[in-house]
Amino acid sequence: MVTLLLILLPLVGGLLVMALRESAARAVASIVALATALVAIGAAAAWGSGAGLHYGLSLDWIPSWGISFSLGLDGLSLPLVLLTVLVAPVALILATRNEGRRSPILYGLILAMEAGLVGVFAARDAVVFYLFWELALVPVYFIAGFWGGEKRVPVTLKFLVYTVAGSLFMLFGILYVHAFTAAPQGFSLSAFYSASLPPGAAPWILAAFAVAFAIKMPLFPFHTWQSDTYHEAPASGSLLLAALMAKMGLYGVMRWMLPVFPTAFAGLQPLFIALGVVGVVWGSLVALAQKDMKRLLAWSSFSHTGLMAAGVFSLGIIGFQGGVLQMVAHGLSIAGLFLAVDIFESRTGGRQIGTVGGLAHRNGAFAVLFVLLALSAFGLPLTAGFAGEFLLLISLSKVSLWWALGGGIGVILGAVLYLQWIRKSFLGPEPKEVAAFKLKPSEAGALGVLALAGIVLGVYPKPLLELARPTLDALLNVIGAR
Amino acid sequence: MSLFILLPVLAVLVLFANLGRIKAATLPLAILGLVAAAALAIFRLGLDSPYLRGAAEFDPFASGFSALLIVMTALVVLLLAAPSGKTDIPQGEMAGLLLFSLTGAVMLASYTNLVMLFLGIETLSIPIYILAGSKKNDLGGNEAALKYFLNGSFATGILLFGIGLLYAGTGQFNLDGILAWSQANPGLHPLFHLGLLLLLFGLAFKVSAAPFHFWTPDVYEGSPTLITAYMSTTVKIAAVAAFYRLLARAFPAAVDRWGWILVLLAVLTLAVGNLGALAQGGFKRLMAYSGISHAGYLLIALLAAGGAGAAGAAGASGAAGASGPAGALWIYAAAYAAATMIAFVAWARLEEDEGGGVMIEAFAGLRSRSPFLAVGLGIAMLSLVGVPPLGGFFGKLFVFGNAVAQGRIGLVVFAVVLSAVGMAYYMKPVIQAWFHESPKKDRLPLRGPEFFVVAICAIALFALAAAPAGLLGAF
Repeated sequence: MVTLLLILLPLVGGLLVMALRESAARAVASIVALATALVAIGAAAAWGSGAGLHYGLSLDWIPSWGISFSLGLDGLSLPLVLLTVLVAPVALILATRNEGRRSPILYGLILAMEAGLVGVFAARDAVVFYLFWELALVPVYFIAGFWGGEKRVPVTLKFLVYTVAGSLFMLFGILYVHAFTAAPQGFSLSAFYSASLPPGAAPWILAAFAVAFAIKMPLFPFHTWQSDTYHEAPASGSLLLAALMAKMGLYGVMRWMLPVFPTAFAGLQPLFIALGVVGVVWGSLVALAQKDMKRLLAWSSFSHTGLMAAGVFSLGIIGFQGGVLQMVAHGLSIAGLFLAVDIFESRTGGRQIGTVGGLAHRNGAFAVLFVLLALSAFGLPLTAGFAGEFLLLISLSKVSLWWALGGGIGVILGAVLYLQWIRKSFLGPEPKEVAAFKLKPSEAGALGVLALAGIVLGVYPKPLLELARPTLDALLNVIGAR
Repeated sequence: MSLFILLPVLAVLVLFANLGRIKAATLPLAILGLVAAAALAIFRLGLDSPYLRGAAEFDPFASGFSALLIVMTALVVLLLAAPSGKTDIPQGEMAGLLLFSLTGAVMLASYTNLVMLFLGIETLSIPIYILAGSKKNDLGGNEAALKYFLNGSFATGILLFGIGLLYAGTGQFNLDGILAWSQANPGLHPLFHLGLLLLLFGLAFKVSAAPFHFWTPDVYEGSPTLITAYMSTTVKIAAVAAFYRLLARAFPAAVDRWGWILVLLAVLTLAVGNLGALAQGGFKRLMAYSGISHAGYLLIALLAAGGAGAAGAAGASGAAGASGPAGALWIYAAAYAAATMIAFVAWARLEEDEGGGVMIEAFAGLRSRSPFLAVGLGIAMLSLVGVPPLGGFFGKLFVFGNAVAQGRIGLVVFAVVLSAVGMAYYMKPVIQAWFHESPKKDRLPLRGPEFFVVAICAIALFALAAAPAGLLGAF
């Protein structure tokens, strides 16, 4: 029931919010988002232990096809659900800036997307997974398409067609695996884990899933939609895409791809790791050349996702733990950075790096928070980003030192990237054209919470790692068992 | 047999009411009658026994599809009650003709004899030839009517020739008789198989499958929008139901002979429909190509007729398999019809407002002119692409699922790729409606019937997600 509540609360709340007026909508949306967050935190507090399913729910839906409406949380889904419920309010804070442009609908769409994301992370049935997978996509398409920048229409259409193409391949893959589940055939996670696919076909079906997940993450070379979409989307949309939607892909890999096709994956592992590592280096190199902050974040995010993917593809408990930790860490820091960029833009009138510098003179607290978030993003020790990247690189090095080297180069380039950005935008002489400014309480609060969470997780990641461990062990057992 | 009495009698009553002094009563009468007919079909009242010496039989398949056809027609008749500003639309005559046409549609859903199939096709089509040209002074409408008539006659001719050959080969008109004959005479029989081939081609014309689709865009564009809505929903579904019934009941044993032909038709239809739609700038032409592409997906659904027949010795409806191929077809058809209906209601409303614009850009700014219609349009288009949790998704899920279970992997992959193309063109009107500003700022108020039809169809698209379990087993 708790899991269902985590989905229904934002979904119903979101639909309700769309019908309200601006001021009421803002209040109701905040209440709904906070209530959802509280429910999730409560669920985490009452977690207990064990690899098993918590807060499970299973209703018969289409029995003749073996489809049931099954939800539940475990050590892999809970961290991502927590990330979702923490980041969604930040998106709402950003959304309040679009005043006058039908904001209630924007709030509603953000909440609807939150529901979709929680559903993706909680689904225990492939059809339910697909349903929420698309439910998370449609709202963000409308967010980006309606509230976005000048070239939003073609850019978001490309994004939509691209991701839906991926989804449809996955749908085909789901149907194919279903045809090979043991009788009585079904779509449940356990049926999928024990499906015996013909060895000749398995790599192709794996590819059908991989395309969907690779486009969502995105993984090289399926990233061409990303930079333009992040750039054109409004700040709240970019934040949802980067902090949350990208995680759907990697989650899908861990939950629905690797354990279903372990044998087929074993043959393709070097290819997948290579795609991840290429993305790490490629992304950080391109990011170095960016002037626009949102494009910079897009490419840097692409680079980070590549490392997460490569680490997870290396198939070890360290890589899996690193993947979970880094998904959360990256989600927190990138959400904070998108909020910071939006604050930057609203106060200085632009978001080009190099045009305005020395912002530390105008608002020291803002500069400190930004630096903390940036440090976590590129993985300075004692930040969550470091812990995550460290685990991922160790895991990669166990496969081959060369892969780890490639990933390490990307991490170093990332450090260069963020340090340059800090220097150009926040250090240096006082900017004459910008007056001193204050942060709104909501802005300061959100930045503070995100930065603090990054540091807490970096200093003491153990609870998160311990939480995820039993589930990840179980997943690796499934992968290794066949 | 109650439907075969009720519907034509109703049609005659409506026409007489229209001729007499009670014009105001015609549409309410037609709608009341259709509601009664839908009730008969849904609750299967007076439908049980085969009749006319076994020419028709209301098995669950027949009553299920009849109900769908009746409801879709009722929605169109309801929309007649929201007349456009121009008063040259003869509502009463149109309602009467629609009812006659519906009688043919119900025949197509329930026939068990090839003569009845032929009668059904003719009864369905002849009123449409007239209706397509019902705007007498409109050149486009006249062209559409003539094109539809010529192509339709051609198709019926082929169909009739096929029936003749089959009779010559087997000595049977009856579906069950043909099945028994083909089971007793395996192997290649020129008359039998040529007859089957011509039947397939004749029906492919009716469902506008490529390469027999070329009349569709012109006819859809030229006909009055409400009639286009009727053609692309009721007429197409009736033809598909007839197609399924033919294959599942008479030819499941010959699946090896017709399976590859359907696959070929499906591949061609999907390519022509989806790629053709991508190139369209006019909305009705877009919807015409959309209809062609959905004919392609429906052909994939028809392929399951053979699988079920082979597995379960052809139950009355072919629904022998647990996966319910007929139910899948019904869900697909219902979702397609509901979504298409919304699209045409929206278009009819805009057409009236714009006075004859044909381009998709007419949807620009619909969100501020009529948020309700804009939301409905979004739901309809997303359902046509197959986005969950809308009906279109479940249609695709079951249809593709059955095809995968039958081992038609290449075909499903091809269909999946083209579904993604579908997203690109189905979003065109949605993008106009939501992301573009309108040159016109005035509100676009909906009339009661329009509001009702859009609401019912949108609710149905969501409701199809809640009920597939019952529907799959119902046929």
